[in-house]
Amino acid sequence: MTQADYLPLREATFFILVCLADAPKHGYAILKEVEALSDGRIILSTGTLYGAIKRLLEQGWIERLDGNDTDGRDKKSYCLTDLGRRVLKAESNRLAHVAMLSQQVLSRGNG
Amino acid sequence: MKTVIQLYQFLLQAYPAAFYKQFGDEMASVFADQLNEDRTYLEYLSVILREFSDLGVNIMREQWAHYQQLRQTNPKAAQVMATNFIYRVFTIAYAVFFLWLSYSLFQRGDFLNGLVTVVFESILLVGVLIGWRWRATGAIITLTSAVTLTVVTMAALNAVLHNIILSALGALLWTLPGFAFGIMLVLLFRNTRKIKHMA
Repeated sequence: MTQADYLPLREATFFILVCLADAPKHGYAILKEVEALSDGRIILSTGTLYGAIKRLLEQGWIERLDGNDTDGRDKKSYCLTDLGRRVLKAESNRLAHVAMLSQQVLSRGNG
Repeated sequence: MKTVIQLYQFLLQAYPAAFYKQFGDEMASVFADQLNEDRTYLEYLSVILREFSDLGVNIMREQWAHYQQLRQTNPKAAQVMATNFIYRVFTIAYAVFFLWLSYSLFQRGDFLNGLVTVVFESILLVGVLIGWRWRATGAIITLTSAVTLTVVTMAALNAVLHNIILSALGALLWTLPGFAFGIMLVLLFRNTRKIKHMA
């Protein structure tokens, strides 16, 4: 399967992958960052987030890192795998292409 | 807030066992983190409502995905899962019916019948609830109380109808849920054992 076969991604999945692109994050940080990145449009519930995490782990797009937080609580972080990064890149390119096409058509219409 | 978090943790157990084992603690921790934020009363309420309503939907989704996966890999286990689900739905329906019945009998002032019904039906309900976890014990209590309730109801009906066959049919109709629960528990117990032997 090529990366293109997975596209288009659901918006929530796309934002989860985007927020894991720079550094590993734990569940609560993912929730907050997805909300911030989407300007408050996507507010994931804990159940929806972990349902998505389970599927992303199964697909091999993210992986789980063990670790503790500052309070010593057992807190797992998640990071992108190489495959996940390639899928995210492919989706970003697809969205950029779609945006460029629509801009061209719009500017032709205005002209 | 502590009670809400405990309730959330309790409800998480309704996820498939593997999912709960993998993510249960993390989910409870993320939920608690959300409630520990500084929020207004309305914001708290909105978070709680969103989390609990989504939890129901997500549990159903994960259970369905788990069932589909089991159907491919272990059809016998999928059958047990489906029976277990039906059993639990019926248990909840039966508990609601029991509460309504007890309330309506006592409200009518029918104390003697009310007391006999409540005593026998509550033994049956205890058996059914025990069956959620301990199938064999639940089956024994449920079937024993169903048989006893049938005999008592039959005797009471026969005193009015003076017809043993009609009384027996009426009593059986009344205690049918008890027998259905007992049979379901026996099937669950037998099939679970078979799966364990296969594993």
